[in-house]
Amino acid sequence: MPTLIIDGKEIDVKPGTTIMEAARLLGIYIPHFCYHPRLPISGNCRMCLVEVEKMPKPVISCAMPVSDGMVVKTGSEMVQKARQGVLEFLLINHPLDCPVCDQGGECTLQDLAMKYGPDRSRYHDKKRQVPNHDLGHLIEAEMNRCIHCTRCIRFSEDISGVEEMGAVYRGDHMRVGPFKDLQLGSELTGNLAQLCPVGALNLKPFHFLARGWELKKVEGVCAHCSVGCHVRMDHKDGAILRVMARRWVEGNETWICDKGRFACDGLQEERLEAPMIRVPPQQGALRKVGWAEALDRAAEIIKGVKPEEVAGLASVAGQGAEELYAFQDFLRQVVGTSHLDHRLRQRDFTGDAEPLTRADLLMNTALIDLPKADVILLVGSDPRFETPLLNFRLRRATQAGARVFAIQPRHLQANLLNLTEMVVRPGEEPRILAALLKALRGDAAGDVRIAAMGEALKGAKKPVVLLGDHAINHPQGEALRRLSVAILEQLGALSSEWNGFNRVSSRGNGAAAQDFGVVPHRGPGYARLENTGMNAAQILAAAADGRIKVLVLLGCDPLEESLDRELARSALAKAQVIYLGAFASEVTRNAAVVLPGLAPGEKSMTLTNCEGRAQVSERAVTGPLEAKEDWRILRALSDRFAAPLGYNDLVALRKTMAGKDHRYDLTKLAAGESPRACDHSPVTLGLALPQVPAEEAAHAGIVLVLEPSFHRDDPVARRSGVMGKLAREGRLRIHPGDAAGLRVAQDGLVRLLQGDKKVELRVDLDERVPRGVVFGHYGHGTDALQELCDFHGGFPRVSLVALPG
Amino acid sequence: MKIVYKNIHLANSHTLAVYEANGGYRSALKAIEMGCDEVIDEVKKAGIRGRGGAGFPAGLKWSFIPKNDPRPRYLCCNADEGEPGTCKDRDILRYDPHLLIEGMIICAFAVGAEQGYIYIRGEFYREAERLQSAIDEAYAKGILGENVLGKGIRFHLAVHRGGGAYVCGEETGLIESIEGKKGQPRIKPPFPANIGLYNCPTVINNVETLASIPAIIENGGAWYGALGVAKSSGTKVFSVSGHVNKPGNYEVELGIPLKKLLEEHAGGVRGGWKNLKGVIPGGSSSPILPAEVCETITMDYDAIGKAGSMLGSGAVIVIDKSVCIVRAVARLSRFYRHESCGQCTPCREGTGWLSQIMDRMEAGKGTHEEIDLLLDICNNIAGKTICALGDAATGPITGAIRAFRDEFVYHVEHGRCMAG
Amino acid sequence: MNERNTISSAAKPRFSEEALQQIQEIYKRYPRDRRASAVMPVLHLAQREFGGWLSRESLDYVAEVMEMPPIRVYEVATFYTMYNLQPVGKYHVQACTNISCWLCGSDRIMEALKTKLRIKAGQTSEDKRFTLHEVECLGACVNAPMIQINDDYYENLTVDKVAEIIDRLP
Repeated sequence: MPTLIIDGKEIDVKPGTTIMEAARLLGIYIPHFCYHPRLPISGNCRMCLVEVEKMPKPVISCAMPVSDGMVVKTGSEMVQKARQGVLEFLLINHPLDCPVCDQGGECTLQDLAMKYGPDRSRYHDKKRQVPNHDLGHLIEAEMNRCIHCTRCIRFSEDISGVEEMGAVYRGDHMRVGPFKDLQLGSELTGNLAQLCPVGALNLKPFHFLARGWELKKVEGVCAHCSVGCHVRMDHKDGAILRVMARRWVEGNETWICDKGRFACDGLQEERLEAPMIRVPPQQGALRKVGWAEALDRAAEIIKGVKPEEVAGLASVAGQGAEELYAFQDFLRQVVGTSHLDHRLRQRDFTGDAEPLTRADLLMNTALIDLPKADVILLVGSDPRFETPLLNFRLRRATQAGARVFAIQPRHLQANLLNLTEMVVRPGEEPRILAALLKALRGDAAGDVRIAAMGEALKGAKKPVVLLGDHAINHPQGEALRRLSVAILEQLGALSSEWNGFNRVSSRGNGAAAQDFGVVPHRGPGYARLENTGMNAAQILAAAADGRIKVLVLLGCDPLEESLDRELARSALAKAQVIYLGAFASEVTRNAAVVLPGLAPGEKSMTLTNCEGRAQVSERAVTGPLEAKEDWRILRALSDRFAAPLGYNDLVALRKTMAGKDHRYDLTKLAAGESPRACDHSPVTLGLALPQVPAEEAAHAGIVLVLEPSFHRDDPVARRSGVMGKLAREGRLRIHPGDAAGLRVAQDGLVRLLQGDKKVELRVDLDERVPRGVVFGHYGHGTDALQELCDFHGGFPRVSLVALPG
Repeated sequence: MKIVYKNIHLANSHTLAVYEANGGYRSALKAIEMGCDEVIDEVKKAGIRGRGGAGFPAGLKWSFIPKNDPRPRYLCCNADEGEPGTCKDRDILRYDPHLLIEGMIICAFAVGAEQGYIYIRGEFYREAERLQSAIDEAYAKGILGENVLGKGIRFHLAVHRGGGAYVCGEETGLIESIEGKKGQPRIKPPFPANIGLYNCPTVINNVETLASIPAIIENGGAWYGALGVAKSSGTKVFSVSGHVNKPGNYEVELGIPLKKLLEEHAGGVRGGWKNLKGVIPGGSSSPILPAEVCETITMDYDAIGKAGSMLGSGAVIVIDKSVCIVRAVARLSRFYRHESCGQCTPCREGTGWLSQIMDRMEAGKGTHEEIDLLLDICNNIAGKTICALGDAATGPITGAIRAFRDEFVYHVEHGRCMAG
Repeated sequence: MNERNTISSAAKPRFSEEALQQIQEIYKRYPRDRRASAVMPVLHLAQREFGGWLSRESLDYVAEVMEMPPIRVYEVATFYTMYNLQPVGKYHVQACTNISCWLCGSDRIMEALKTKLRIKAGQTSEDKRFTLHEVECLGACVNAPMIQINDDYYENLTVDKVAEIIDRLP
């Protein structure tokens, strides 16, 4: 442990620590531009020069490792002079446009120029002019302001893995950027603006909207996917104008994805502003009414049928644990029905028969431990676009040498190194995993790819298996889950030292829905139930044939979210719908009662991430005038029944929740601290392994696989104009060879047929897609491919016809 | 005494036949028989300092390569000869390439490198061709390759041509360039001996340094160490250019008086010694020595260092009284601005600023304050950059203002040159 | 240097079979996992193949052949001055005007070239025969003044010699 003295203060640090890091530990700030704690060191700005005794020249503290007995001065005359010199150099060619610069007020150069800069310029020549390129919808470049710190370049090389930024030419002609007009193509692009220390790279959607000091800043947790990145919501005049990443060492470090950063404009669109009911009831048009009238009508509708004729469907996108808890509490305790679910895309519910617990359904390897993994097996997972900041951890593992195998129906657009992909026909995944398990148990694997995978896994000290959306919603989803558990059990990787089993749904708050029993077979805290109800697929079927007469929807749009759109449409047409949520849609336009709730950022809400950490995101803005916190609406509604819900404020509600699940005891957490990751019991062992046919069955037709869309798969993102510009949804991805066979070109129109159902879409030719399979996103609007899906038939087989135009 | 230039006057000196006929590759055999540590010891004993400009003792550099390290090691020859005034390596490259190859074999053996690269400046196209044919000859005769000289040692050698960037003469810029990147120097530490080419231990030596090695092995470190003067042992090639009657590359023992070098070897200053204004003693970045200093100074590392300049690459640029120093410095400032890699702030911004002021000064549009501003900018660059290019850019200006401030003042006051 | 600060465009180029083979040979000089090392020699080769200069399309093509991100190729091509990003004439005349050459009269050589070729520094003659550039030290200082025409050095020049050299070019 080297001991050194910085500004007269002594400190012991680990060998290899830099002077900058040691000074940080002492609370000494050394000014800098290019240094960023989460990026490789480049040492180019020279602002962090310090004096070290016995060294003739000042040294850069960001790169200089400490040595024992070092005596460092960070404020000596030599250092001050050096800083002033560097500042002057940076300013000679920097424009004096702070008044019109988005970075003004939160600019490192501006701040340090105040402190070290000269009050007048000694530079009398022309300032450099640098041309700007169009960098797409997210980043606005003003490269005259660039100070060549290369943070953006290092970010794209090291973090995003999409090498687009660079520095061309040299000397004082050096220019930073992609060197051409380019829609920056990473899912982490917005970070470029956040890490730029000056106003060279700005957030385009935020351009000229507000000055930094006009914004109020609230710390929150991102609700868009299940990682739960720590964010800061900057708002003004009731609107969140931008979202910035907050430092969270165990999670997102200091990065967030573009959806988390830019989708906030969706909060302004299609909002439900007041309660509405049909006047006259049943056939009439929706009319805005007061809360009491709307709640009375809702209660009347529910009371008008038998309790078991009522069912609830919840979306987990944008719902806090509070409303999810209150939702199941209302349905079970107040209404008296067991029919509720949140799994609208799941095909395989066989796992419901087993006493599965949290460890079986979430992650068991903490995000911060993922980089330690040495072999990673992705099963039906596209982590880069399902959970970008989890993928960042996987990329870190691969940068440290980990190998990745992916069993997938298509090639991934991955930024992982050492990736070996095994593209399999959709539906074949269980057979592959079964063969892999056999190989691990010593049987010869017929397939060399499986054998290689087996060898790598056998040699692994810290293997990880990660099941993603495709695996979770797979027709044999439970088989895949059990096989993955068996594989890790075989590898001895389910222990408390290293548990490599991870099931990661991309959807926001799914973990809270599991924890609080927004499922038909379990109550809060994974309690087994005597009376189990119908699952999502059964509820929609029962509603469609009239057995369910009232559907209570919590933020849920079954037309968008459910796997079977035709079934959802019949269910909504037949049942009376009580809709509780933030956004207007076709569902609300046809509902019997509409109760306006709040969206993320507008309410204090608990979001439980893929590791099972319950984290509170605070309210930044108020939302529409009449809208209320969703759980309060349920509480008020329950007053119309015999046994109302027993909590009148947030504290009481959270106390009740903590009573059901200790991990929600947020009072035990120090402010701002995040609960422990993967705080749950071990994975359930000993479940029967499914019988998997040894041979691939012969198939006719083209297989259709639906995937969640990174840009559009939650109600806020779906309505975001910025996300809309980036999205390529409403497209069918097809192998160029198949497209040629159909005589359809890029952007050409095709018709997908399945029985008498049809959907027409334009195509994107995609080499990553195998022949005989086409891929689409869970769509919205008229071209939704869920038209062709159902809960029971496995992956749909379709036929394709090219259309003119 | 000729060491690195001993063969260059022979007919077909670049061929393997002529090289071998004159004792070529015997030192390499001898070195392999001596053993690695002994070779390094001899080179240390010789006291030879890097001939590229920095003057770091070569033996010491070799001894920094970690032993028992599983990583491959690399040897890079710096043939990027780019310091204005310097053209000494070129004659070795084109007239005695085998001498360089032999020196590299010895060094590679001593440090355990199995792959070498000769980084030659891109403009030396014909020289690169010569070098490549010499390498091809050496491969054909089993001098290079899997079994060097039949001694069971592996050493592969390839030529990597630069693309026109002075900064690649800086050793880590050179490494970056071989790695296929811009030649932007790296921050140090770590040093190349530990983390060099492809993040592996790497020795980088100048052509002249490596070409001196065979003679050191042949005759012993002590023999070499006895040549020259204390702390500046051996011979050095001086590229004498500018206002002398016989410009040329002259290999002489270090410590030779500058006046003797110019008068006895380079044919004397144009128009006679009295016409001398000053000498840039070690390439364009070394501060100019005024004529009165040139009278007595000797050409060794210490003496020139004491006089406030550097022996550098040994490029002796002779300037007579017809020359306007302000104009000469303005030209050099333009060079450094052009060659700054742009990576670090003081060099990127500072070289541009200096050049702009010098151009105005030269055009008679400077001010008195700007003469001191130049010095202050130089002070803000020197010692604060990633590599030595920043320092190099300041040398001509600080040297010239120190020795010839009156010419700068004249430019400010009269708007034109003091000289002719 | 301004006109060198932009990259011109041209039709998409293709390497000859021979060049593609040479590229494979170039790769062998470097460790297998360090293919990027070959980018400079491949760019040199591309410049020879594609008429003495590198268009944006040529750079993209080199990136494609070498399976590198284009930006990494742009960086290299713009950093090193020998990669011509604008078309050059059949003869690329580069006159050194750095210190040693300047002391020995490179200004006169430059003037002689301008007069002889009827172009200014940085320009290409109308018949596309000559491009003239003023360049930094080319490392032949003891034989100053000097110029380089394509791959060859011409040293110890006088104004008369320059004219003669130009006249003798085929």
